[in-house]
Amino acid sequence: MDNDALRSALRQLPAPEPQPELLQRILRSRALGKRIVVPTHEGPPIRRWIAAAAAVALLLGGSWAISLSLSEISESRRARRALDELLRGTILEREPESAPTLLRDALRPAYPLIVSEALDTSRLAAGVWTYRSETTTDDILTKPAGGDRIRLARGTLSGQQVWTASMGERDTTYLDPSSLRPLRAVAAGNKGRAVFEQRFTADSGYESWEWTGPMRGSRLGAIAFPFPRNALFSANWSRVTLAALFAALPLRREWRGSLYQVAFISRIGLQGVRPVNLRVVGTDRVTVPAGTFECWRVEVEEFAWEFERPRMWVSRDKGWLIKEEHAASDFVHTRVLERFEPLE
Amino acid sequence: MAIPLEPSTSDPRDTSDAIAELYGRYGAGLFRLAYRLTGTKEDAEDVVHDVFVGLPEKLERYEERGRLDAWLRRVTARVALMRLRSGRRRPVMRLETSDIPGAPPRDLELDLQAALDTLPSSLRSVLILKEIEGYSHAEIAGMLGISAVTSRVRLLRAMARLRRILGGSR
Repeated sequence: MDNDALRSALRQLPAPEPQPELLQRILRSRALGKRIVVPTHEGPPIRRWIAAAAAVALLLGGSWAISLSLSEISESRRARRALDELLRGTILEREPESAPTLLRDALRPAYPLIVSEALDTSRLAAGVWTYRSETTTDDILTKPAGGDRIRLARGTLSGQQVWTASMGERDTTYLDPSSLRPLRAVAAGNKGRAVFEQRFTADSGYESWEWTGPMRGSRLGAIAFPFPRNALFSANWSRVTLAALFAALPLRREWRGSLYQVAFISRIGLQGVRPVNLRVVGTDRVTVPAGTFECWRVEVEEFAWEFERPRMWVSRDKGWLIKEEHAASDFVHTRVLERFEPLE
Repeated sequence: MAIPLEPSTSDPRDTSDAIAELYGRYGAGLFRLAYRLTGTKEDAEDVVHDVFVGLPEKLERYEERGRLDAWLRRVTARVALMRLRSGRRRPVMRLETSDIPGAPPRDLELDLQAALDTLPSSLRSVLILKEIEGYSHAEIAGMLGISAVTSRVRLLRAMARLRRILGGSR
């Protein structure tokens, strides 16, 4: 049943009639002097926020315990089984009994893993890509939804040549120049009061998360990778690294490949290692503010809270992310390239 | 439309007549809204009862902007959502139609209602308010104390879960 049929059925769903005595019950209450204060303002009661904060604190504590124990697991069949259990356990909502098989299947890569040897890193270019976003609701109302800038530049990290991929001022990932695997990622949030730093080795990663302000604290997390040392991965559901990597991918007709997203304790509810599946499904000529481009149309499949399948258009000549589209039941979020400024 | 309700009147019959008139016009629709949000007739009746008992005092603050029925629906939705949040729901067991002798075979309406009943209230509320009552995500966000983005996400999850449940039951 598609969404339209489901909506139609929902709107026709019958509802019962009230008991005939309800009016008499209302009038009797008034006559007895009963008075009820009907709420005047929206907004959650304070205790919801307190309960939510308590739940977050519990989740953080539990996540820390889980991630520390994972740091002792080596890459082995035992590690894969343990990670399978962790991935199932970190799905926030309890799914119906028919769904666990679906979830397990969703957590395996659908296509061959993208490996370093398949990348053409010579196509990467240093520059700044400026994007503009908008949201169209019910095919009628289009509203601007801000924009962002992705910056890819050459740099050094501890004396080593790296690529730095960043979005804004506070989110930077350092990539190995030959494998394009993250070496380190730094992000700041909550007006600079929360700082996340992640470091990656060939087969594992760890994160430190510190926050200041009225509630100070820190957390550590570690994770063992369930994939080979030459397999591509991205950190923290970051669109930045994916957009930066497109230039190096061997895109062609009917090309398919998978990489992993690695997310730590700072991504509450999304911790774990999940595949992102990419598939070239066609070609299009796309016109955006930055110009007209011949593009590969790439379908991206990822499993975060639900299956999501955004579409991306990548220019065939330079591998730039030209356009991105996320379609939901009643709105479409679109992001288009506004301009490119080279840095070299 | 101005409703002449004077809570402080010396003659309670005036207020009762006014409540009865409003109930006659809007009561059934408000009951259906409350039923869809709370999931049970008993809770829906409690919600409508509370709305109309508190109505005379509430109408003192009604500024006559927009339609009265839309305003009443918002108030009813708020009361129903408060009831869900407080957990003050009457424990009732919905009879399976198979428990009723001579019941007709299950059809889409029953499957859909059963599927709706399995949704967590956080998802069902957004689904009902958006797809049946026609509120925008911004309005739903205000009612539920969430962001419009969260409202959209919850709607997606609710629809996906319904499709999954209905797909498995047929």
